[in-house]
Amino acid sequence: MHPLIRHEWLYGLTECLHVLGFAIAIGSVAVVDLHLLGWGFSHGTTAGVARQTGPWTTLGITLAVLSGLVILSTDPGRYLSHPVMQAKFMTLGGAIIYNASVHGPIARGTPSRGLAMAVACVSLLLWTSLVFDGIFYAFT
Amino acid sequence: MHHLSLADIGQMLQDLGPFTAIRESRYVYPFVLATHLACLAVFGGAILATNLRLLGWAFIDTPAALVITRLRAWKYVGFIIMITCGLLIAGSKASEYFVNPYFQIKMLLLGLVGIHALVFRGSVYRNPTLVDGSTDGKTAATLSFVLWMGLLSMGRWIAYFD
Repeated sequence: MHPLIRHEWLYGLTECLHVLGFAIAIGSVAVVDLHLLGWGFSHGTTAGVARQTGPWTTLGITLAVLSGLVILSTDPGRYLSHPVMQAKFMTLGGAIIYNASVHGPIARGTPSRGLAMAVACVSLLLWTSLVFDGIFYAFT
Repeated sequence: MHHLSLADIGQMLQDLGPFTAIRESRYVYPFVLATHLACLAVFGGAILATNLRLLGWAFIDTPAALVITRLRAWKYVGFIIMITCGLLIAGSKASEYFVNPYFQIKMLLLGLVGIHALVFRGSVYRNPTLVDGSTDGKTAATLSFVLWMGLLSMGRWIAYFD
């Protein structure tokens, strides 16, 4: 029997770490998005903010992915074959690629106001949709 | 004489039209729940940024008082959406939630978040001359992290009571 199934508190703890991880990851990305949207809170540039939130984003994603894999291992067959979870994996891949190849470079550069806002909106949509995927997986 | 129990009050609450509709809907309930969590993530960023600044771990090029002021509106917006969704979730299953010890602890922590805000209002959150690296600021940030970790954990743990 899977340890997380045998010890329910361990399952709960892993889920808490998952929520904490994605809250840190999404929250730290959202802080950069706020700057891109022109509602920044710092005297520094968006590039400076992105540089300082970067490690937190990495930490949050690592925590969320590792705990997510542990949760997945309790019932891999159902997770991997479920369309909502498949959508979540693709969205996660897309969000990470987008973050590295579009969001990061734009945050470090000097984009026009329109481009900066568009990049921030797509970023917020991508990351928050992962939360919706996770919940809707559990309910469908 | 029959005393009204918490479960009875919860039952009356969740029998109200809107709460029954949410509980019995296929998509509204998970949508509200996901919004509650997504809000935690997005607006948790504002809390994270404020606390990191108070601790002096990030954004030190900007005065802490300014970071707090600029992020205040975001925290309010996030908090209102989060509480609204939370009320809908808890209200639609009130008879179970009201007697759930983890939900009760969560509400207690939520009360402590309010007290935390009041206690540090003058010295930190509404202090335009907040000194960088002040003990009050660091204490407020540390307690804020602890309280929010507790809220998050208890929120998840509600599902484990039966």
